[in-house]
Amino acid sequence: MRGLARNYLLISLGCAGFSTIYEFFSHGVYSYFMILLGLFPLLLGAAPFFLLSRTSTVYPSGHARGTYHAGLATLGTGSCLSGVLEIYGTTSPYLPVYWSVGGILVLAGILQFLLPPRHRVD
Amino acid sequence: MHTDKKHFHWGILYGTLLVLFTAYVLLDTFVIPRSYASVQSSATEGNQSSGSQSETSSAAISSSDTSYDNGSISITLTTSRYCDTTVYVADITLADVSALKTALADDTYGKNITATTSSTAESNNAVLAINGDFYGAQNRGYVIRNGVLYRDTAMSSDQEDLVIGSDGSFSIITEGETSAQELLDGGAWQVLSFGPGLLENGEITVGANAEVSKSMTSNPRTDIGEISPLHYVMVVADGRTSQSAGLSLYELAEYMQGLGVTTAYNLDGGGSSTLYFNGTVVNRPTTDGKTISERKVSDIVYIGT
Repeated sequence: MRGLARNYLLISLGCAGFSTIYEFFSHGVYSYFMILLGLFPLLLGAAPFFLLSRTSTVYPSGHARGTYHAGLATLGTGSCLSGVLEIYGTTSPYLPVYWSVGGILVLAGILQFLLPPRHRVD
Repeated sequence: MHTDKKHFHWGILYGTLLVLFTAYVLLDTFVIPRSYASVQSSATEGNQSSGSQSETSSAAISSSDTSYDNGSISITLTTSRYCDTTVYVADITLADVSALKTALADDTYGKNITATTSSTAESNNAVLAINGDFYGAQNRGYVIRNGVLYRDTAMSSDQEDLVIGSDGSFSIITEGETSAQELLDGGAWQVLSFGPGLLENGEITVGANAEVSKSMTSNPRTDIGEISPLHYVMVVADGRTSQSAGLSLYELAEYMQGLGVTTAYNLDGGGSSTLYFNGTVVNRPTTDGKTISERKVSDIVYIGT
């Protein structure tokens, strides 16, 4: 889990660097989606996995982690794309897809971790 | 081990789908042209209630780099400095409102259908032109051009639009207070949806810190205003360069007020800001502050015979 937390910390630093450079060349046009891009991997990635590594002895399964990672990737991509479009001054009807799919996957990953596994009884 | 490999493959597959979907969204937003209506076919269905055509063909035309007069259209172009910014003002007096027109890039209403202000102006025989509201960058916001309703979905209830009536009068409305069809039925000849409105009844209507969407600094600007019936100004301010900083909306409103404008409205700015006069781009349009070049836009507002 610590390795995951470290990886997410690096990703959030990368996102923060990208958003800083993008905003620098945006002639004062700003987007909170771009400014706060690094928060998704920091708050939903590095922080929870770091806490898990410090406080829990039960770790999410590969399924749960995979679903959660996919959700975070979708939310991060949606945030980046929303920022790019907002700074350009346009929008897209497809942006809600990122928020809904990403949110569902993140929730599904959490539920897979929290809910007790069900076993088939024959 | 087998399970880890399976998760890895699913991760690769999902990542690939995410990248492909994002590429499609970007192409759909910026590249793929979609034509919804042509101007000629729409014009035949539209409300043709504008004033009579200007009788200019036989009138003597006097024209220079800074002025144009054909008897029914009088334009004087001046350049000044204001707040470390080069500002171009076209003072326009018309005998008939039918000379105040709009045009769509490639005579087509659609998405990602763009052309430079100068090329659209040339293809419409414009004497004077500025970029419009870049309706194609948005999926919503009223679009009425030359008496034809193209889009009737509101951007938001507080979105301010400029309505140019068939009598040539300017008014600023919010999309929440009326529908596009009601505007058309009420005699709207042009409706531009960008904003905000800068002046109403000669009073500044934007706050000192007001900005377009998420802009927070001075920028190139394009603005149109009415001084009195059939007496208008089109104003373009350069920006983003060391020679010309650009204006805030409030500075622009103050400048317009100083010109005696009663109703003023902000159009698409930034790299879109372009002023075309007598076959030449007069200002220095730039997106990045380094390269001087026109941005392709969806539409223009122009004066033509």
